[in-house]
Amino acid sequence: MNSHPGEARPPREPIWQDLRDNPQHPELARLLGISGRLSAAHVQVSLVRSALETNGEEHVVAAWLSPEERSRYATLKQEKRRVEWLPGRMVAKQAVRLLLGKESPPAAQIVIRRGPNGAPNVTLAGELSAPLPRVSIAHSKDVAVALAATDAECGVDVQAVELGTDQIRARFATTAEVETMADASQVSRTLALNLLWGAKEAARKVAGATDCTMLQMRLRHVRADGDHLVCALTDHEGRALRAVVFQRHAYCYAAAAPAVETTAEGPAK
Amino acid sequence: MKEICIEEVAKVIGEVVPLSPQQVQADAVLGEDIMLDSQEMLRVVSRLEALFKMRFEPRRLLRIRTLGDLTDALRADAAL
Repeated sequence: MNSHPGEARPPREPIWQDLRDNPQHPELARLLGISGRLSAAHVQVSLVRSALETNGEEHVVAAWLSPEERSRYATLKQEKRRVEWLPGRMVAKQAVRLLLGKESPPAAQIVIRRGPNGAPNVTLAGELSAPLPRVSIAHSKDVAVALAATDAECGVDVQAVELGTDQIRARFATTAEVETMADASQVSRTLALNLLWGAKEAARKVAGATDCTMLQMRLRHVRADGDHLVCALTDHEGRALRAVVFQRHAYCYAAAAPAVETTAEGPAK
Repeated sequence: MKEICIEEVAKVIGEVVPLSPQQVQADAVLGEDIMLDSQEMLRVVSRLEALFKMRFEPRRLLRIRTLGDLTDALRADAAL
């Protein structure tokens, strides 16, 4: 593959959007109760497919992937698989770039690897004075999202709203948890279930998705803050976490971090 | 009881998400190679439990990353 990473520039528009239309990263950090910086990136898989067709696969891959990642990409034989895999890497790198700002190396010099527990790790080429960010990635249907944070573990989830979520409810939530979410959100049971799923899934990524089951992740309290829901949860070891969830179009989005304050959310149910 | 093999597990996954024969590899990562999201994974688990009349041990499910892992876990828990 002929590549010129030094010349390539990652496409910025119209692919990239923030989790919501306006940058609300300070707002998201506030809702999560974390003091460090946070960045979020969001991409539609269909737009990546369009970018590959418009700009050329070689150009896009050279702009976004490190040599190691390009080797991995090359092992994906089917076009469909490549188009599904690439957005996760792109969105994670974009979240890191947004977080690091001018200090960030080009996307192709940011390496996203899966650790032994499945969680993504960030490695940067060259020297960087700032600490390495933590990053979390999620995908569902046509959407991939990533969250990056400087001073806190973070977790992200996106979930296409599924009518069938009720069929697996007993595997991830108690009746009391569903009622708590439905009461706070004032939305349909289906949407409440999907919001609850997102809160727990994002929080599990903070707690360690290979250590804490969905049922061990307990929802304790929910309060509405604008069109967001702020959820207090505890993991399998009783550690307090906070998740922010909201719905947009056909998807539920969630971001989570360790809770700094554990007493302000009210008593556990 | 039905024979527990990767192809049988892949057939169930194919009822939940599109799956091509090239993806049916023991080392195929469920989240990355097969692109199962976590809700879809639970749907696969529910279908496997119904098909094989067994229950997965919840903590064993946490360690599953690949199609081979899922098949091994199914064999282990179906044998209990």
